[in-house]
Amino acid sequence: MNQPSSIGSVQMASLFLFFMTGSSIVLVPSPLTHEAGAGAWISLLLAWCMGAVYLACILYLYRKHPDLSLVGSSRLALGKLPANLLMIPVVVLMFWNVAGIVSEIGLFFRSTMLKETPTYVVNSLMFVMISLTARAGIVVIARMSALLLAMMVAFIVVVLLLVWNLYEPDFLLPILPNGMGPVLHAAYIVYGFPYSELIVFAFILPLVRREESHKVRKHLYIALSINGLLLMLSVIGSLMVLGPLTGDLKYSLFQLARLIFVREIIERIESIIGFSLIVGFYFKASILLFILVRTVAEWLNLRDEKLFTLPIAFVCLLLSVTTYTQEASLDEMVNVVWPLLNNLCYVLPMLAVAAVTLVRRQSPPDASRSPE
Amino acid sequence: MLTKTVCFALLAVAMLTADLARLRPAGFKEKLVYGTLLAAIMYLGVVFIARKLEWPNLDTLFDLFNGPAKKLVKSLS
Repeated sequence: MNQPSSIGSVQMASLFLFFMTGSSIVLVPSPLTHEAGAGAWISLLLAWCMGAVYLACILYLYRKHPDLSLVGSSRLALGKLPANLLMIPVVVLMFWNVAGIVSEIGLFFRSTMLKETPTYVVNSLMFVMISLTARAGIVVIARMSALLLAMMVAFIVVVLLLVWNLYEPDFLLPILPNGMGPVLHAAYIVYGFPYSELIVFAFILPLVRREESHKVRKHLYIALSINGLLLMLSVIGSLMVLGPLTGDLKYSLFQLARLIFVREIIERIESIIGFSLIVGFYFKASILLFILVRTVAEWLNLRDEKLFTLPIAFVCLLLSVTTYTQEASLDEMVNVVWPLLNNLCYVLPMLAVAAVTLVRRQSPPDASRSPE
Repeated sequence: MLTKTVCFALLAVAMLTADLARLRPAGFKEKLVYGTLLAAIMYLGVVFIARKLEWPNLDTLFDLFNGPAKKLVKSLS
């Protein structure tokens, strides 16, 4: 495997923030409010807490083995064969994870801007960009992220500010008209996407420069907090403008941008927010493709990981145009099956490795030997 | 179908052209993994171009979890 370059802890945190916020800020408000109504923010808070717990777990593994990814940590904790078997579902799910993000981009274009263009053309062009970005390596991705992240966040904040005259705080009530059930259901959705997906960062945390490794914990938690804040603002902003309709309108931020009207000077600026949303999708897919390629190379002990970027991206592209091609089936997959699959394929292996690492650390080195 | 074939062929040729220089000096294991990925691309390419969406794919595997996932969601709400 090629020796990859390393990045700073702030750069890793910005990649983390991009990954967690990129596509979720567009997609999450609608299913959240559809299920939980005005209680959507409680669901978001619950899911965020679970995300914080998982972040603590991957940071624990990172603290114990700063030079090892989850592949290396699991080999150390469980042995080579069990660890290699454990990686099969992780890699399979990651393949579809990349494909799923691009499927969502395709659907976004089909229903908003490029209604006549075949989805596979949009997906192909996106994958060309994504694969070239992932092939360029972590340093290039990290350097690109700073500017694009700033633009994405700025556009989102601008949209939320420019619809201030449409805010109706009354739409935030009642919070729990049907009890906690719908809130828990909504929390399950947002837990599956994006909070349980953060486990994949356990594969690239060792890329942080050694001298900055002690800052990673603080920076990642700050990034997770900013992510929670942005999603919360997006959900509450959408609710206050669109009210109960938020759950029925997909891409609520895009819908908010369509409503902006400031003295006939600033209106119909949805293409601007569209740009920032597409950047979010693109960057999340690029980061995940990079992680997937790196994981496959480490898992199979391959020397030249860049060699596999394009064929892996091609497989993901073909998965995006051959699986869940209907919007309804994709929605059901993301909202119902995806959180369970994430639990089984991402969360459980990581928890197993963390638990074994914890037990081994706590037991004395010669505890397994019987006293002679 | 023709546009899909052209799109697929263009991407495949671009990928092979870009990777050929790296693939030549690669070891046996690398070539084996690359070949496996090419086989997956060919299979999925046929599914995509001929629109054989009923053929086994990752969604066939994921759909096995549909029942348990729905039960879980129902128990939550």
